[in-house]
Amino acid sequence: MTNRKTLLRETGTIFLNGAFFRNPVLVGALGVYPVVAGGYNMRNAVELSLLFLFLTLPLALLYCLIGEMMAVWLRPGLVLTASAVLYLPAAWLTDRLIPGSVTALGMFAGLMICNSVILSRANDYAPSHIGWAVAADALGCSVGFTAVICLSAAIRELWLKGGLWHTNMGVYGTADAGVSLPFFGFILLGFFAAFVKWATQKRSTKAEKRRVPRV
Amino acid sequence: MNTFVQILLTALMAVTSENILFAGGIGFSRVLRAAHRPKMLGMYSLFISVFTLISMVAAYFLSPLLAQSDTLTVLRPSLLAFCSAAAYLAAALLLKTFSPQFFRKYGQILSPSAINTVVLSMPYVLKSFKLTLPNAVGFALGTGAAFFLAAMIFSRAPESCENPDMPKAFSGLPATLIYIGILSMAFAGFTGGKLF
Amino acid sequence: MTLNEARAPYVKSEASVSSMMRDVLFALLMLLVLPVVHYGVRPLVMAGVTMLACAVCEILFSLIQTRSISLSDGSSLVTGMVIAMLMPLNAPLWLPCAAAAFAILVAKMPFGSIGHTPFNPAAAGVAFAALCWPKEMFSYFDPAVSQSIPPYQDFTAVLTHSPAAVLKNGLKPDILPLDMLWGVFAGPLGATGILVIAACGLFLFLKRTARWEITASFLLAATLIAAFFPRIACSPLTSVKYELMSGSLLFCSVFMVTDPVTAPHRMLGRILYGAFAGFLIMMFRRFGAFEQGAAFAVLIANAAAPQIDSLLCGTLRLGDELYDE
Repeated sequence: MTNRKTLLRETGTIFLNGAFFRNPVLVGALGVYPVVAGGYNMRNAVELSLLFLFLTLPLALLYCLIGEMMAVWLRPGLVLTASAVLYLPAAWLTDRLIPGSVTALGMFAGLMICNSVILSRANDYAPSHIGWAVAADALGCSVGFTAVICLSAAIRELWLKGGLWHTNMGVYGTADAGVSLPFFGFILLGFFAAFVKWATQKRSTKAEKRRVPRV
Repeated sequence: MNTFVQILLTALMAVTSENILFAGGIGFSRVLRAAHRPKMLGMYSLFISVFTLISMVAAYFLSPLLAQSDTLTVLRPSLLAFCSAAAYLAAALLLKTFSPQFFRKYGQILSPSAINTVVLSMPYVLKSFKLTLPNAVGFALGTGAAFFLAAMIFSRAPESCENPDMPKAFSGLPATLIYIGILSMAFAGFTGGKLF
Repeated sequence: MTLNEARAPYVKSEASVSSMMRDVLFALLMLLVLPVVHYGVRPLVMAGVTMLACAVCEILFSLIQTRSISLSDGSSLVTGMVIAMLMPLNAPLWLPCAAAAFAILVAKMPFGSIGHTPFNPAAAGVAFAALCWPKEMFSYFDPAVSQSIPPYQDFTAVLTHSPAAVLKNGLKPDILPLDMLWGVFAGPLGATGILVIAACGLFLFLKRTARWEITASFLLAATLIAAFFPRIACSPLTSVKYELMSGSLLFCSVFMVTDPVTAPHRMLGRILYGAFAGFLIMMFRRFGAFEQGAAFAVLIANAAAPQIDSLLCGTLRLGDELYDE
């Protein structure tokens, strides 16, 4: 019972870390490209988030199972290959949920194959951790990625169009003005990262205070 | 002479007006990491150029096969990633066998550069299949040079992005992201936003 | 012995930072004289509103940070003035305010305010406005057509192409040389009065507020490129004349690239930096998306400045670990 509680608590911590306190995009500067370049409208953001989830979860679980069986130098190449293979069902699934999404996303969809969050989780984290932790981490990272890309996309689309979820703003070619450009995505990410850093600092200060016994 | 000029022009475009790193925001996760290792930067950029060239040439020959059907176009990104993975594995195996010392020293940057190749050449592989060989060579050289320049610039960025007078919340990565954003904005002045 | 690390701009005493800013502000105010004479009080209103926006943004950021508010150095006012000078007179007043907000809230304060900004905040603000609202940024009213200019309301002006836009289209601008010197042509508010800019530059060089070597190498690089690779079919001299006098090139050479915080700290470094910025501005004119690329060129040159410094100091050798991972 205690073990199960500890496991649940630790799984929750791993999930929360991936989602917020150690958000891979805002703290690790990983997977920045889809957010800054692809996430300029909500539709793109949701589609990329789904693709991220459908790709990272099976890939991480797969490498949790087989990662330790292969030599370290072989792993990056094989992770990339597995990512390229698993991209196909992930793209198919995303396209089923939001018809036409993969074609509309264009290269943003294809680039998810080598998203550095996905690859680093599968290459470095998954092989050395147990299944629960890997699943919680993959889900946490997906939530973290989704939160960042959706928030950034919402701000940019609101600025540009004055509303959310417009008819698909199209592929990259149309993101050619103002805040839809990658530079604004970077700047938003900078401010989000500052917020996460501020929140983490507050949290550690509180924890520190709690640890100091009252006289 | 004409070929040389073509190579040079494509390389120049890849570094300036078609800089997909700065104006397109592509591949920055790895640029930032590469900037932490200036010692490896030259070799890292060389690997990127070589892998990009291999991938471009492979994609050049394979893409017409895929272009025959709409369904097969979905395979293009996977195919490019597969080509890069194969190139990495072959290079790693060769180096490990014939030059273990070199592999021990530079093996750690071999896989990031192969993966970065997929990122950096994907836009061209998906959008343009008509790159001639000189264009492909120029693009590969230019991509390596752009990567080198970007990482060089960011190897000095921490001085501006971490100082005692700045708000603590912005110190480090947040300021670095804003720094990249402003620089990306400057490069967008070349393209006005339209990159491809 | 303790070595205290000072922050840029490296001037003789702390008080001279604000005196430097006062000099620059004075020079920028001088630039307003001709537009006010020609077009009434709108230039003054525009400059005032932009400076106010900069000050308000700086105060707001300081309040959020719960830090003491310090506007005494005058740097935010200079930023506001430079932004206003690069706006068209017929721009709506929110445009320079948006540029000012970006300059202060994004390019200045997050990096620790004056002395730490890696990029010239005014250049960042102007570049942001150019990318987000290109139509408003590059539409200039025609000074040849007599039209009433309201002091602060938006107005529909008779528009014309600026000489920079005409050059971008590969044509020769149709302006009298005297009009060019006195700033009677379409262009940014404070960047057209060539004679006044030159006089302001001289004043700043004599006061040692701006470094002449940056401006000189900047102009030399731009001149050489304009002479050897003219964009229009004309003699090298004509090409140089139009390139230097159109757009915001000259203004940029005096007020933007010379920013002591973002420029290299060694003489040779400053020369290289100026030449690089001059080269970049001509590249932006030739290959860029907009008729003016000064702000973009300055930002890229700013990013290169630390590299130029470290290359000259010999602190950067490929092969050194600059810091641990």
